Amino acid sequence: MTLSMNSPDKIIRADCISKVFVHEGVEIRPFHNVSLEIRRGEMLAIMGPSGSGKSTLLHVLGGIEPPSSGDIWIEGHNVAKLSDRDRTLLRRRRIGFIFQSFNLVPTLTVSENVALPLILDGVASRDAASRALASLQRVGLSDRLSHLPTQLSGGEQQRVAIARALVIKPALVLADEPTGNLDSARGRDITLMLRDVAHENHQTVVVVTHDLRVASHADRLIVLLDGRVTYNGKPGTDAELVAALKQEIDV
Amino acid sequence: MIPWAFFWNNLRLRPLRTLLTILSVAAAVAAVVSVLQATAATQIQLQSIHTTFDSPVAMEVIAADTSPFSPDDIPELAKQPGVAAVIPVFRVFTKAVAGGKDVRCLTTGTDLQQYRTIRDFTLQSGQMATNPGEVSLEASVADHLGVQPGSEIRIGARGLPWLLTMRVTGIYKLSAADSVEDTSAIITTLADASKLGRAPGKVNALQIVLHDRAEEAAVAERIRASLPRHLIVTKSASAGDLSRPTQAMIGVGLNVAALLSFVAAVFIVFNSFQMSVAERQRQLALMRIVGATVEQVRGSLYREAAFLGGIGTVLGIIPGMMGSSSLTHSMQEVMGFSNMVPVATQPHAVLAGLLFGPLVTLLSVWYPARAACDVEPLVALKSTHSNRQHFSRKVAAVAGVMSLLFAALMFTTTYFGIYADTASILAIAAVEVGGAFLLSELIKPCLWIYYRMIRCFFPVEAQLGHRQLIENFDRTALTVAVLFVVSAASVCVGNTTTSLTGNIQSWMDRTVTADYLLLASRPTVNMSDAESLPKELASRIENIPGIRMIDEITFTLASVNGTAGLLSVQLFDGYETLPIDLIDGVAADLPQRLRSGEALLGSVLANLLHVKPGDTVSVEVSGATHVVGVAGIIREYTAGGLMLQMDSVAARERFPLPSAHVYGIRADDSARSAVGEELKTVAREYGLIFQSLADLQELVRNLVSGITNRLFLILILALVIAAFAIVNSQTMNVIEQSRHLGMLRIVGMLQSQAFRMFLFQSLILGMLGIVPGIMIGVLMSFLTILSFQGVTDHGVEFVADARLLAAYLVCGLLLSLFAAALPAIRAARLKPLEAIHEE
Repeated sequence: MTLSMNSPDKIIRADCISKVFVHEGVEIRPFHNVSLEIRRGEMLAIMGPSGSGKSTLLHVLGGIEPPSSGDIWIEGHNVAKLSDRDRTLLRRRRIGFIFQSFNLVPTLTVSENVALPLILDGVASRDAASRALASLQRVGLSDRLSHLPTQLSGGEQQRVAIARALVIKPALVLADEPTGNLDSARGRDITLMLRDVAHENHQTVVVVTHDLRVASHADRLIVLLDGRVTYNGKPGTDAELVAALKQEIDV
Repeated sequence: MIPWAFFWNNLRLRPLRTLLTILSVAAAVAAVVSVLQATAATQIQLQSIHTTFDSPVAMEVIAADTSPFSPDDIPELAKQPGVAAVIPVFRVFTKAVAGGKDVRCLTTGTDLQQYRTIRDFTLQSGQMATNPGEVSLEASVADHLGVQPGSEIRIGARGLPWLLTMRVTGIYKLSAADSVEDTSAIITTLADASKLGRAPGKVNALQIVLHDRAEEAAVAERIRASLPRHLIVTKSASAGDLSRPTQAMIGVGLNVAALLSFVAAVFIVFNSFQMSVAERQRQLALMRIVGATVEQVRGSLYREAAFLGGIGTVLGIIPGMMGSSSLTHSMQEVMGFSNMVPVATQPHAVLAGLLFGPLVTLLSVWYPARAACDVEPLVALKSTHSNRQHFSRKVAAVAGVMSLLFAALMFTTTYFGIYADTASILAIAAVEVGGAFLLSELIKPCLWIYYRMIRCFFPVEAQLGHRQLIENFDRTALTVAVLFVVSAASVCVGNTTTSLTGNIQSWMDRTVTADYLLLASRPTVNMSDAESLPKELASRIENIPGIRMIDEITFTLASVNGTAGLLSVQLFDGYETLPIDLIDGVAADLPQRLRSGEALLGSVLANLLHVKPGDTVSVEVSGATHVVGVAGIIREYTAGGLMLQMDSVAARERFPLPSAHVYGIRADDSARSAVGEELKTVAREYGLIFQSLADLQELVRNLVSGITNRLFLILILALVIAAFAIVNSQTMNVIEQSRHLGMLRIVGMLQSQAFRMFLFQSLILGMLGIVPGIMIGVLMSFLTILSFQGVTDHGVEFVADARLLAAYLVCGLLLSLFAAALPAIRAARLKPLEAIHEE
């Protein structure tokens, strides 16, 4: 792994990162020349209209795929220069993921789904099970250990996904539209849970969202438009956010 | 109607699936065509042998001492009521020489016009010999000597001090029977043949053809009464009867192989279409949501199946014909045909392939198409699994039990001898089908055991793979069923063949114990046509120092309780351990009983006559009839097991027998090689055939290993075809699990772990299908050998060939892993982000 000189309170530093895809001969640039830093224990929200490149940015920040150009350091590791195996190990041990569509394995029980990253990492079954239980207790689902995902509501499934993301005690939690499939009450529960993760455990949470209410709970907001960061600052109140976004979009 | 674009795009956008489906159909059609064609070709060869052996010649008049005689002795023979024709022949063993090459063969002198009515041959070039000084050669003899019509050859016979120069007028092709007999290779005029036999103007047999409705026994009795004392009537052409048990056994074996290949092919095609439809359940549901009727969806699937089935069928016919040629060649080697009758492509084999492909394809798509449309479209669309259609395990269990009950019924039918051949084959196939249906009940417990075994090494991959196999139970069950069916069929055919070859080898080891053999002519299928050794030979070889024993073995045709058999006589007294493979009887009593004139019966003959040790049989040889006690029952393969063995001294006291055909010579250990060298000199001197035990054993070993190697190749080929099922199943798993694989990769599953997870699944699938397949295959092999008993009573001992089974298991599991490689690589290379967004 490649280490860089990085400030200890910064978990991610991105320098002029860009992403380019070529799809059927057409070049697509989800984001271009983005530079940013994310602190430990910070909750960061990324907003922007559909197709603005926010999910792709999240995937690059999480090391799911490398940037096409530029450098990105996650906990001192230059992701751009890591092999697929090293990026996988980094994700497995340091990064938790939460998706809009939960992405639980339907053939595994709640407990097994949560223990999955530990099992993949070779943690003994018993240890993995007890850590999964602790993680599920934290999201309030310790009574549904042997249920299958299909036997849970959407909100419960997302809490299982959060438990799975947290079970490895990650330094970084990345959530892509975590409340997109939930009603407002359950969406709020999940948002507060993520904020607690950042503030109480000093774990960094990066949330991609369309929901202003989610963004309003973040410590910082980044707005992406056409692949560029057009806003990077405090989210403020809902009204201020709406105004700021409108202004950016109009521009 | 659903637009053609939908149908076409389905094929175009899923090239791997399309290819796999076509290949499955092609492989199945190829298997059916090749086995049917090879079976037909072999049956034609057997039929040809049978037809030739069963020539219209009902009986022969020969001299009691087999010496030549004048046909003028019985001028009224042709006028006897019931006699249609009397054909004089003179047969003599000769040596033909041309261009520095020589060949030993049987020369038959006869009236060609008459001879053609009883023997079937085709002229390849020139014309048949009709004038003195002319000969016609069988094609292989002409090839060996390098002669053409018009060439001159020299022919000599034992005792003739000079060689006769004769002109080749034509080259003819014998039927398969004669090539097996490997004897009657030169045809000439009666006058020339009798000259070669040093009996000008004489014959050594008058072959008698009867009118259709003539009563053979009555005619024989009348002829016998009219003959002078030195001539006798003997039943002719009983070689057909003698080869019948062997033919029946081969027939059963071929039919078992044909039926099992058919069952396996059906399972392979069904598996393929089940997967093909199942992986598109969401898509089909969507079609219904947007307005397609159930009939339209099903119609579209039938249309696609017909198209793929058609292409697969056409592609399968050609390799099927090529495969049949290889299989036929194997049969040729196994059965020792040196010169097969060319067999044209059998229309029924091609027609069966042409019908099998489309029909089985349409039947195979019928169930999944129906099941896919039975699911509510919204349910199918929302579900993350395509595992929405469930085979009813209850239905499978009932079908399995019914199959086994049917098998039991068929075995009962076989036991009582009602349509025994067909019933036993159907029973074996029913055991296989029943096993395949009932296997699903064993999958879960077995899967758990295998999972526990493998998880010690790869805990993560084992756990995830195990779960996936359980979750997709129908797919697992179907793939396992295909592997099971193919393995059971292959092991059944393989183990049965090795049991047979093993039995023949062990029989050879027990019965041929002489260090050296001297023969006057090459051994034939039934030994009834052998040439006698020169009488002075015995005293010549007795004087060779180091010889411990000389056994004089003589063969002759006999009628035992009215059934044709081959009588073999030899000097049993000289052996410490009798050279026989005893099945029934008291070994210790045998020397005494044989000395007193009792006989040993081949198991086939004994069962045919329903006799056991202690019973008596009526034996007729060359007109002499005696009641002979049965000392024991032996396993015999000579003359299809229709064999009777007696002590030489006792037999010669009762029956007129020719002098010895074979000398079996045993030497002192210290002088063995010197005796061998001396015997070679004697053989050269007298123009005899010399064989050492080591040569013979080597010959049999080579034959057996040749059969085994070729057989193993065929079994591996069958496994390769079965591996399609694993490719199908695993490809399907990868496609369907893409989303979850993507998620697993995101949360930290390494590419190597994804790869291993699929390898693990394949290994488990292989073990689930192949292990019980081998076990049931061994059972089916046992049942097949039992069926052989019902058909031929050869007394074949069943042996589970551990080496074959272990090799099959290892190859099967390796192939299972190999088959999973492509899907596993595909799984490992999935891009996580693309995968989690796949529907």
